[in-house]
Amino acid sequence: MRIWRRIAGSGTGIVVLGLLLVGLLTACAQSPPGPENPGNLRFERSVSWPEYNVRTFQLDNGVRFFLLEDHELPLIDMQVTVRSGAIEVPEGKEGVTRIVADAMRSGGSEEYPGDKLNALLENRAAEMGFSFSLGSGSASLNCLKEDFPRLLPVFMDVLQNPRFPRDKIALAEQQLRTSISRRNDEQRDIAVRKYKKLIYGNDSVYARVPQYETVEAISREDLVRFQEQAVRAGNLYVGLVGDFDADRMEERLREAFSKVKAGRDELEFPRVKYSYERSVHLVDKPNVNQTYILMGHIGDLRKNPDYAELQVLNEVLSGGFSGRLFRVIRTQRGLAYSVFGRYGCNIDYPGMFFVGVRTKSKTTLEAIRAVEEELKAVRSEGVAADEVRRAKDRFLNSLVFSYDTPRKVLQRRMHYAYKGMDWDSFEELIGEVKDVDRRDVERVAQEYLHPEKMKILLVGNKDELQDELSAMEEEVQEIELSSAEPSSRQSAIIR
Amino acid sequence: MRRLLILACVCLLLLGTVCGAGAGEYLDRFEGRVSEFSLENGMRFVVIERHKAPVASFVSFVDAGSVNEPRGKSGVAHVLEHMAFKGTPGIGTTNWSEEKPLLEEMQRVYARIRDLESAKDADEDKLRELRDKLEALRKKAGQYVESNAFSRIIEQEGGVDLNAATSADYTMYQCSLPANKAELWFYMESRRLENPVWREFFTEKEVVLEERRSRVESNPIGRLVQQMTAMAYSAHPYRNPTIGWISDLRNLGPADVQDFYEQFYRPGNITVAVAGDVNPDRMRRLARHYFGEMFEKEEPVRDHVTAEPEQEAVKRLKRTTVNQPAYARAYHSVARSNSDFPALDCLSRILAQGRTSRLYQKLVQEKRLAAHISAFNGYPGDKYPSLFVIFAVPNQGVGLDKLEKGIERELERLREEGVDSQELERVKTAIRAELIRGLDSNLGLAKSFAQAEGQMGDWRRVFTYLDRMEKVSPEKVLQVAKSYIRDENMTVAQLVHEDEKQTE
Repeated sequence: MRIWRRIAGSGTGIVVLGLLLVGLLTACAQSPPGPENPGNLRFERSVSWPEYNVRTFQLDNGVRFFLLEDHELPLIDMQVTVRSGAIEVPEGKEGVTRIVADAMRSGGSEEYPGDKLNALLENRAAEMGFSFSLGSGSASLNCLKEDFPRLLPVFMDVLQNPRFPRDKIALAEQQLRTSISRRNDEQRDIAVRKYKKLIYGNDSVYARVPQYETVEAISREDLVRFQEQAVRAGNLYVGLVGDFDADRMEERLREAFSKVKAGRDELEFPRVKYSYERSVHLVDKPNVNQTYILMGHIGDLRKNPDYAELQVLNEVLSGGFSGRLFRVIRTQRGLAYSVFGRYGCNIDYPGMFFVGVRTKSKTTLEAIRAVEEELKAVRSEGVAADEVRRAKDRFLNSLVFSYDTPRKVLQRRMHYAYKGMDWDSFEELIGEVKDVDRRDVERVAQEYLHPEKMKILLVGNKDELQDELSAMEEEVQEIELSSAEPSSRQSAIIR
Repeated sequence: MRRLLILACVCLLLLGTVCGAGAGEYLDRFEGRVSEFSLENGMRFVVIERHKAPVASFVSFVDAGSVNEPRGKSGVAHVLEHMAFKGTPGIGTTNWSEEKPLLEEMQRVYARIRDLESAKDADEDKLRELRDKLEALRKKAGQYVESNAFSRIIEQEGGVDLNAATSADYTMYQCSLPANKAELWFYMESRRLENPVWREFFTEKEVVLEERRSRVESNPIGRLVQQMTAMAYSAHPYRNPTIGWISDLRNLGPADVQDFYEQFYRPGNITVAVAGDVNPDRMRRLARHYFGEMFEKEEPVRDHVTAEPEQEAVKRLKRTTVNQPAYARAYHSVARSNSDFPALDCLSRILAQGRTSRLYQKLVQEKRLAAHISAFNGYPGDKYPSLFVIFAVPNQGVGLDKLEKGIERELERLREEGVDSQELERVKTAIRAELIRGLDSNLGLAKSFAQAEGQMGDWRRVFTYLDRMEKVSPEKVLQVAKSYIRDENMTVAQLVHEDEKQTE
């Protein structure tokens, strides 16, 4: 532990993990697993740990680079994180990010229009793609190393000068309308969408989705404006992993990105107003015989000082195949195949706490009660020291899998840079997790879990659920889903 | 001889995708990093050295899937896969000597329940009594169970990727561990394969029934595909869903799981692949130590598998629901071992892989009839003659008839004009690249090597497939298109929205 801190804090930019790993792995041999000790196995020391030397540099215009050589396969993978996202889309234009991303790829640039681009890439089995999430964008190129010099300028051209042809915009819009029309087909899609609205508020930026009329309202100028705003040098975090020489690659990249126009966005994440209040909601989904249940409340931020303790609580409740919820709801009571949950802490805005269960209609209430009992028990009866130790072991002993490929190391490094966190935040967390004990877990369970005040969302077959619903103590509020016909008729309800 | 073969195919791999020096060296090294051996009991091992990080992945491939299930026992291969996580006499119990007789008693009671249920006039009172008794026994036995102990031990030691999968053709168990804990895997896997205990059986059956509800009953596409498959195959067991028919599942007992286990979970029927930072000599020693004692039972009688008779007319299935429309069609094709397989594989990609493919260009991009279209050969398995499937999702407001006509027109064009060598080259490049990208993970390597070795007797099949594919000519693609992609060989499944008429 002390050794670890010293290494992590040295800030050399080189991830040196050998010592840590040996410490962790040999530590496990001391805990005989289970009643039948697997042959009193003694695990030999691990082989030496690879050191990943991530090369970082920044251009005058602001583009940041993260390079990591990996010579195993003759491939190069480039991932550009773009400081942008659906959070920047004005109200009433929801869907812009989807159409920008689709039309950039399908339309290409003046020099490389869609069909030419497709042939150029697919003749070489290369992949290029664009996408946006709420708080970031992504542009990627994956190809054989010898194709990289040819494809990098193509990628740069499409990224900076997309053509946005009308026909490809129309295509992207139609595909988006189709996906809107189909999003009530699967219970999971409905549940996730509606649960966010329950937690963050109906009109919250964290819960909004495209509607037919917002797609209608999007003009070509909206797309151009969004792309121009996003693709500016200060917004770009360029990561490369693969079979290249870092010196030569740096030269190539400096040249390629030097002409990106300057500028940088600061994304704004509005505060969330939330009041803890118990409520039960139903979305009627005819034609199914299972209820998709989500129950929980708001979560918190990554910067919460109890973050490490909450991660151990997550492990105790739903880590792997041996967490509490899996054991009780699935293995011991046979109520579900799928049971999951976590107390979520986002970096930019509060995460959600949720437990999800899919169970047959007639055991819906039983499953809800069973989850509630477990959450209440963690608070009233606490947790066993043994249980906490196992949860920590799971986390700490599997850490090696957070470093087993250069790609993972690079992605984590970029993620923290993008979010403005210390480059070794993960290593910091490891140190903190080691210090968590039973009392810490009980304390955060008390402080952060509110099983009496959860919002419970049921997506299921109302006809089959009559007995279940009438046995509920509280009033069940029904959320209307419209069918999927086009036109503005249903837009008011589908929200 | 074998070495020459692999080098030859390695060169092919290089020609297409990798030019310049250095890459050949990499593939040579790869060949030198694979070792294989068998134990006396017949169990096969393939070890792939990959010293990139101190981790390793482990895969056990059992050459038995739902296609091997006896009549009336559909779903038993998959239920057994679930039960393989329940532990052993030593793992998962606090008191085996108390638990064991209870499990045996439960088996007996359940057998009587089943007898009674199948009788002409079941004695309802007696049935109720027995069911109550079974429930009481279940509770009593439950006192001794340490639920999920098997998984807990592995996860506590840092195991990840812990999972298993059952398909029509095979059952596969997987796990990754820090490399210095390889012995833990040998210990745990040998115990559960050699001496599994069917504890918590009746509760686990409920879990599997929930899985079926999620995958099939409450999932419109899952239901459509299940119905299509059952319709396409009139006699071959590929018609049975791997998850099982509902009445079979409800009827399954621990004895059925035991029967299937005894017939197929024999050392000679199991192949293990280990990929990662391991020493092959040590793996061999561990294999002998932990699996060497596993008893090779008598060579089982493999049931005759009913061959699918030739289809003589198009089959059509149309379901009207509240869900959004979807469209699938399936043609009877061939097993992977058949010489037509690579050409059909190429054909499926020419039709629908990537943005340059024919159906994508025409139906998604140009005519905007489909939001999604895909084609693949080898469903639901490829050990026996399989299906060539085209699946499409129409755009909003597009009727399925119109979509179908669009697909039909492209297939017609294909049969008339054939394919050009450029598009064929493109899909061959894609297949080679897929293979290279797949070499990137221990788990991926272990899975594909275990399957090739276990199902086809040689892990080199992973690579020699490229050799077979390389020989495919445009003429060959046209020939398979003409002989397989025709109406009398086809099953069509449509999911129609109840308001389709109004939306058109």
